[in-house]
Amino acid sequence: MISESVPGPCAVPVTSRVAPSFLPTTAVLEMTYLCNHACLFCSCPWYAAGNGFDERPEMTVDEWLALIRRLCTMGISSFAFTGGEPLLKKGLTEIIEGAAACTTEFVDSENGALVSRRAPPKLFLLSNGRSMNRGILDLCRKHGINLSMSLPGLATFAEHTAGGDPQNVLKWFREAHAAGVTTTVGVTVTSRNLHELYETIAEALLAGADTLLMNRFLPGGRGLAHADLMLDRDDIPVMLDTAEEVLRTANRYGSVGTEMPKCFVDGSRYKHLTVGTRCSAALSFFVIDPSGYVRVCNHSPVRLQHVRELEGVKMHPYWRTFTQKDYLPKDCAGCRMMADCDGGCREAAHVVGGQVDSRDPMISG
Amino acid sequence: MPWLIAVFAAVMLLILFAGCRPAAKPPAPPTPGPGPTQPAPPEPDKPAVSLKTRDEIRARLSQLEKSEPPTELKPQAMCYAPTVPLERADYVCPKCGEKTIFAAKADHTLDNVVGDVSGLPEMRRLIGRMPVPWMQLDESQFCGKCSPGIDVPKLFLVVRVPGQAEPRKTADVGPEDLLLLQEFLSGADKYTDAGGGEAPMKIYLPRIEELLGVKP
Repeated sequence: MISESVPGPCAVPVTSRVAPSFLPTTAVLEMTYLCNHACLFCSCPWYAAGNGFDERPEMTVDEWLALIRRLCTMGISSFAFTGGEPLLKKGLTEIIEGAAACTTEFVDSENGALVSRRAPPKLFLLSNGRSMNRGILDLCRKHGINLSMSLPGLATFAEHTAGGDPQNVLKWFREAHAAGVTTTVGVTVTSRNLHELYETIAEALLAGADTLLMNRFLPGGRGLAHADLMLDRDDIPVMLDTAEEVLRTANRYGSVGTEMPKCFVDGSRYKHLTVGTRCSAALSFFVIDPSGYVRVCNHSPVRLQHVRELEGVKMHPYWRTFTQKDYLPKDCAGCRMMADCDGGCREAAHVVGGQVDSRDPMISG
Repeated sequence: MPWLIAVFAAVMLLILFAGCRPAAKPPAPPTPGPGPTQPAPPEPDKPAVSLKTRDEIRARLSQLEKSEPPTELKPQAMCYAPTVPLERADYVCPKCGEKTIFAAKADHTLDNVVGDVSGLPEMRRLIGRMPVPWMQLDESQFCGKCSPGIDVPKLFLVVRVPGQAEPRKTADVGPEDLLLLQEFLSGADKYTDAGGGEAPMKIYLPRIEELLGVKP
């Protein structure tokens, strides 16, 4: 990684400063609508029947490259390449090489001051593993890219992914480990694979996965047709305790991707598993879809502005709802935990309940 | 008002982030509460929304001052594990949409700007739940674009009591202050803090008067 000090507003340490832009520092880039799985739990909004999220022309490689360069002037310091299945995007390697060749501004807190440095952005690649190949592993190793692959069960893998083979994913974890690539296993937990969660995480860690990213199933996209996959309230502690147990045994760490209602979870119980209760959409990350439209998060079916009109996002009412956290469910209004909690996943609540301040589907059942 | 910073360590992995906020220390009661042998308090007026004028608020304060405090009070629960102080906080201005970044002082004693920023969503939610429409937060000092050059920005509570000539503007307010006002304006005779502990409302009268700018 190249790192250099940067002259400018933050050359001298300060305790506050205007950020390089209004945008969160992590951009999730949905490379393509295409996918070679048909996962039951998939939440990509364009796979939901009848929600009006149409597939518009995808951005070209050159458009992606220009956008990434622009975002690097706006303080975006992490890019996560996802999809659909990003490995199906023609020109993905060129796009990633382009991103790795950029430098961006990192603003960090050090000893009570904000310090700035320039370095290439951090890169993450999220794949289902089916199209993984040696070239992609080499790319990840070359640029220090964190590779995340999905493993939604072992015995139930084929059922969840319409015929996939978990051994293929495990093989690539082993290959990645041997190649020195840092990896994350992504596990979406459903009512059908909860029973084998211990084994699923364990197999991935034994194959070389470095960290765990665990998500509870949330209805959205294709998953709207499979509401029976949702965990109920009693399943949540089972899921968390199981993951904690595996991680503790292996001395590894992980996190739960989707925020939980705090009244469901005592996150302090978990030492190896980080459990969030606050929504970070539009604050820590945002999404750009395959056609170049900005969304607050990957669950969101709401397109805001096209990246051609990026500045317009700043005061978009929907964006503002998230930056100001103006979405607490009415049921939570009197709750004493509201300082530490956003009432669960706001976009899942929106998708299922119709409003961004609807109940989290796990609460509403 | 003194603050005790307690925030969550944020772990970011790809698109996943844990959020953070500070927990506030409740305002210290100026006097100890009465023992459990006190007679039961008179039932205060409940319909808080009738408090629309300064005179009505004054009457409420007087009534509270003269009343015997409630006797059945719950102790505070210790529900939360200690949390790690935040090192920085990002503020997004609701007026202009721009983002300002703040660093915590190395010893985390702060002037607590990072804690204030992290606690703003809760403060906004509490203001939104007030039973009266004449209270607002003035958070403009936190925006480096709207208010450049302010080293230690402050959050203000602005109270425009109907009939009061000038708005009351108080700095260094925290969630506990807003909870206090919320319960007072709702007619409660006791105050329940964030940990569930209860204390007679009466002992907080000085703070209520300070925040509202109204004396009984």
